[in-house]
Amino acid sequence: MPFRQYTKCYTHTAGDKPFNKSDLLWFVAGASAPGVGAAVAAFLLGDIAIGYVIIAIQYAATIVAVANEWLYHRLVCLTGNRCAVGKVETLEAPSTLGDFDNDVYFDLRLMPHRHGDEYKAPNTSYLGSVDSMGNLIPPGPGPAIDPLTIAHPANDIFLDGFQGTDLVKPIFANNPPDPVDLPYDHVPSEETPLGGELPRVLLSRSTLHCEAEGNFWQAMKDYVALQGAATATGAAAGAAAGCALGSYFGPIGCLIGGFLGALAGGGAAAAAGAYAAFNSNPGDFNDANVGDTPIPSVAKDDRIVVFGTHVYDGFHEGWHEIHPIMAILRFNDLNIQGAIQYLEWDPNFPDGAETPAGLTVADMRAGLNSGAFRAAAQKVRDQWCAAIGQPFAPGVANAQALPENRWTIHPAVDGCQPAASPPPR
Amino acid sequence: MKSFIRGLLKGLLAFLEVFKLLPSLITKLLPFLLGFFRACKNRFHRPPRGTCCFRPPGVVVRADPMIYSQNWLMSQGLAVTWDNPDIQLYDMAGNPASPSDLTPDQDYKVAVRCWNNSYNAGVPVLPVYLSFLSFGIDVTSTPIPPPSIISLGAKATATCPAFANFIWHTPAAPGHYCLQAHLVCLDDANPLNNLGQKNVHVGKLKSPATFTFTVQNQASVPRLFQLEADMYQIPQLPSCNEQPSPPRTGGRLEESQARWKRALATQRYGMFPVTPDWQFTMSAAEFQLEPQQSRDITVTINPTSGSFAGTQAFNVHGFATLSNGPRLLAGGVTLYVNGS
Repeated sequence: MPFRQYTKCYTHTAGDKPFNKSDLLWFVAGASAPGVGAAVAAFLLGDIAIGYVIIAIQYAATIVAVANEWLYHRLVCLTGNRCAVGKVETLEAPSTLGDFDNDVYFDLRLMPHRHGDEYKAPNTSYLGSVDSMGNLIPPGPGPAIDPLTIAHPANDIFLDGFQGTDLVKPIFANNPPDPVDLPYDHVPSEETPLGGELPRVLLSRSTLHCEAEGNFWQAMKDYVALQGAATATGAAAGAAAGCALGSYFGPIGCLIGGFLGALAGGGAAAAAGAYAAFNSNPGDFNDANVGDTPIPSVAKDDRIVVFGTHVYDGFHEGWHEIHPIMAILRFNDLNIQGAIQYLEWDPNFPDGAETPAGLTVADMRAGLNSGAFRAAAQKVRDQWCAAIGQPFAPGVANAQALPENRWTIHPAVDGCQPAASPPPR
Repeated sequence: MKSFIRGLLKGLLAFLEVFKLLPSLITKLLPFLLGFFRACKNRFHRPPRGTCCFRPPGVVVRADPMIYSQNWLMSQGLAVTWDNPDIQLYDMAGNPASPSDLTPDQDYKVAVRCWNNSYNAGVPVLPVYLSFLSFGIDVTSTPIPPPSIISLGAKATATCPAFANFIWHTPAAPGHYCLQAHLVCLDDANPLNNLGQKNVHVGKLKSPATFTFTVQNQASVPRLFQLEADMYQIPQLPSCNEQPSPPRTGGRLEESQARWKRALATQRYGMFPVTPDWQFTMSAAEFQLEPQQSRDITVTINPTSGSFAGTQAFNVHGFATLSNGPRLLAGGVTLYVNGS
């Protein structure tokens, strides 16, 4: 399989907080402190060359420390490799530092949910509550955009007993003290299809975030020695130029100019190094057979099944996601009698409209509240998850490598005869 | 403060890693410079992040459901047989039946074997459509409803190949018929290898063996038909122990290209002409047909020596050409001659 993976999820233990945006500045400061101190001392002692060598090494060490946190201490393992069936909803939501990686990401609205099921408030009661007698009150549905979802509560995303419960509902938030370490993030309405309807509101997360990995942070590590050298050289050149310009105002001017020039030169070289990493090419792995047509883009509203690792991404305040995506498969959206393809419940399903095979109008209106609808949805999910997950099953990769399975034209044309079986004729 | 201390500790550990990475000053110089060059070329702009669609690198997978497809193989330059190895006919007791020896107005079982040429994805819902045709080239196809819906796994999994099973009630009119199977998948890596045909006639050698089939022009414009014969048969497969190892670099495309190259070196169309051991004559080999016009073609086959023991296959391929247009494969038949 040609998917790229540079990150590794880790097993969370209570008290351990994943690498988080709010910690970034202090973490960088801590990682850089020894070198900054040593470089300042070297400069004060007049060992200018040693000072720049220290800057080079410290810059490289800081990049390595941040990259290691990003790659190995950001994603908490949840339930292993999973598949999810749904509709592509939000593409390329903007983010902050995340913008400075080359991951490709989107949000998936899980089958059989519809737009109206999405939460419209940040306080979805997925945790339940305790009454005055100390009894646990189970969580209730909603609030959803469409009140009809609450009228059919099994269609509430976190409470659906299906993909929403499995993949999106906060797991750690149910297990104190983890909520302290692993809070569950709300999503700004601007990053959801509700942006226009509910501006500047934080909402409970209703969709599953999915990311295909880019190589930015791995490339930052790979090039770190060069980046350190470039940054120190840039700082030295900047300092020299700044001092030359500032010396017009005497030694103090040289000092100030040198300091500002070092910052500017080092910063420019560091940025150039980061851009070189951003534009690095991890290489292409062409997995096609002769005759395969080009792979089309995945577009909004496409019905797809995604296979990948189910993790908690702790960098933003935290949410569940599929990271990395290992495979995406589009639905075969054929209208074939007797076969149910994608399912989406609809409380307003019109009388007399064509229903998927084996389901009634009442089933379509009840959604996951209907046993028949739930069984059909589970069957669709299981079929498509098998189609995408089967190649990752143990032993399949080895079987695919056998000579009798390497044919590319037809087994009878360019296949071969294994020792103990008849030819495929 | 906790973050600062964590950063401090992780930073100190990172020093060790930096020293290990020092040789990359040399080894990574070229890719670093290439990345920097690309960044300059992009004028240090980040790639645009659109909201329409995306192309995640290497993760979009597709199935490639397929059967032995004469049109696809011939379009790539390979010789073909019309005795399709993926379409088998059985009587209701499960005994193999010959399409050239069918009882009219009778039920038969048809099994269509479907393969998947993709290592990465299966097709959970794959409709397979079957139709029958009277024996000939470019003749009318009659559907045999309903389609069979099967689930096909990725290559080398337990559900690949998968079989689509049909019950076919033969027409009341005596004759012999051909079968055509069509696999339908919307997100198909190669949609051109989904249509296969079994078009076979078996004749006893009675000095000579004589066959008759129909050529019909299904197009709405006149077309020139050219018939060509050869003696290609699907070859005996080599032992897997003799298979060359796939290339170690370049991914599966390179391996696929290498396999096509080898197949074309040994099974190219034109490499299996009718040998001088046989007298093979057709009543016409080149003729013009108006739209929907048909013409019966008689083929006589006789061994030059006068006698023959065993079975020999002859394929007749029909190519149709529009005026100033490309020459396209219109169909074909495989004729088996049984000697005593």
